[in-house]
Amino acid sequence: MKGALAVNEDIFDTEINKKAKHTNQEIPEIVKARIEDTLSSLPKKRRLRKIITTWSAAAVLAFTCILASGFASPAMAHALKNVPIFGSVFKLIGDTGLKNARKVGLTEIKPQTISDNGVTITITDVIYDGSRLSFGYVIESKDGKSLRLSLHEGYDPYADGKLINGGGSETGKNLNDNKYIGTEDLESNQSLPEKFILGLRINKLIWYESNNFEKKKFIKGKWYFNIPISITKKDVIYKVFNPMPFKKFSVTKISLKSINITPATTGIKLEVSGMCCEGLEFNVFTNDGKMLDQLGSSSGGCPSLSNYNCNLVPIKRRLSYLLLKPSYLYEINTQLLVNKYPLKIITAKVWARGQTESIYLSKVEFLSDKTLLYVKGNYSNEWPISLKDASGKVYSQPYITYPKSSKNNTEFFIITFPALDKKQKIEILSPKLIDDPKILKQVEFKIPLE
Amino acid sequence: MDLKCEVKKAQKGNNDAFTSLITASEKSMYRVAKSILQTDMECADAIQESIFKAFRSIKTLKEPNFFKTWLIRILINECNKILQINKRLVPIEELNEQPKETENFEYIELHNAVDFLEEELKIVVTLYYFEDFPLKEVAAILNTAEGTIKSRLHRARTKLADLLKIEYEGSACCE
Repeated sequence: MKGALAVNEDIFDTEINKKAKHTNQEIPEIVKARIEDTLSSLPKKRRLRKIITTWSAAAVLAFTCILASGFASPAMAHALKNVPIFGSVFKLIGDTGLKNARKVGLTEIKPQTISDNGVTITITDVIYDGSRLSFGYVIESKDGKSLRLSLHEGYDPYADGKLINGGGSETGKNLNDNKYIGTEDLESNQSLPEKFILGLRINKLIWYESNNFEKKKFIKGKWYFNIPISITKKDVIYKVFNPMPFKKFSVTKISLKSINITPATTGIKLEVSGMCCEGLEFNVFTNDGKMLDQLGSSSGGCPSLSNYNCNLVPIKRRLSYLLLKPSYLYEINTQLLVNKYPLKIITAKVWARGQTESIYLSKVEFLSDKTLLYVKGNYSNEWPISLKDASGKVYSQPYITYPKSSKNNTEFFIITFPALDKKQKIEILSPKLIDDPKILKQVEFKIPLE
Repeated sequence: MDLKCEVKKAQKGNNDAFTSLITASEKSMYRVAKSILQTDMECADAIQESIFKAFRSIKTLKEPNFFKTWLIRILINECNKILQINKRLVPIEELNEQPKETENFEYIELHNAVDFLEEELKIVVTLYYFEDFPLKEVAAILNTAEGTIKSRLHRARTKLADLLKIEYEGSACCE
């Protein structure tokens, strides 16, 4: 201890500063680990996978990702070319969950092959674990067309003959001009039985002339598959909450219906009442602070009571609990932007995965057969946009090129809508983001796993 | 580290740049959080939320040189939210974290002295002495008038002088 000093403010500050500078307080391991986990869980600039229920625009995006990835690595492409046709597509290009499920033997089926109109399709893998219904496939053709599946456009899935409504997400790779392998996740709010026949009725396959997304072509045929499915119960933890725990904020009530942990996925089912799921985002964290990547989500039943299903990557069993953190992203009211250019439209974006993105509408072109919106910015496939004509008719699910070109980190897109009369008043609709997406602390759920 | 350059890179979506900015500020973040919150677990929660918020909104930061000020402000908001939640909770057991063993006795002395201060003085001392923020920035971070910060600093000096056995003859100041 130093002796007592009579000092003025400046000297006192110098003395304290000196003491403070000599301190080198180390960060406790628990805090350090949390910081590292948080930083490592931050998203890359662009999300590669996001399942969507309004899927048409995203299907084009997914397709482009596939094309890009297929050509990105010559070594990978070479390796894939040598893969036996009837190998496991899950094992080759599946995500962590599908690979894991394959590894523990949950996806083995006898491959089914059907040929028609010069095209052979083989279903190599299927899994249904109560949360996730996915299949892997190979498409082979002889005429050099790069053919692929397109949900609801070229094929429909059925469970015991009943149409499975919902969206899907595709991932795949071109092995060469004649061979394509892919996986498809089917997302639906429908309850499926423990055993059923999965019908895949493929009537059309799509391809793009000269890889130009505006030149979509079809090959017709009949490739009808009937695949027996049994829900996998191996290494599964399934909890149904009865009564359902719930949390409330304002008029909204969020209830936890069930959690399903399998080698392929972590599935959480929620019920939301009082408001539509739209605008709400649910992120899930492990007890050590790591955010689980989403494999997909679907919601249905708006507006007064809706169900929200969230599929995430599989987790390790030793976790003691999961933390579900809802956040509120945007208001349901639409933002109307009326013939005013250039426009800045703030996109809807998941707070924890990426930054809020802005895009700029630079031009609108009214052609005899279509209406084109020219857009620049970082496109997010979660960004919905619609046009409303003078009669009030809303045109949604536009066709979007992805991207038209890329320069200095900015990408350029052309969004195609049906032809509209330019003399009428056209409105552009997009959701209105709230300035600061809020994590709704009061409705956080701690989901015990032990 | 070229702060301005790193911030601009992070604003363009460069994760490595964002990570290096957070890593460079992590000790400050911990010190500030610890001056407001009781436990390391709470500090970790507040820091985690702050990192997510900063990552999401770094594009809105107009002046890269103020990154740390901006980050600390986010952190303090998060800490205050946790404090608000804690106020509504009845503690089941008292969490009594023991100070870590260290040979830096001088630090323990100052650290313990700061711990004796009232909450509103503790954060001012942490920002001003430990984090070297000028008064103006301390005022901006705490969203409080500069005069009020001066007054709190004066009160803190008087108390610290007493605790550290330093005779302090500062000029009188009223909040």
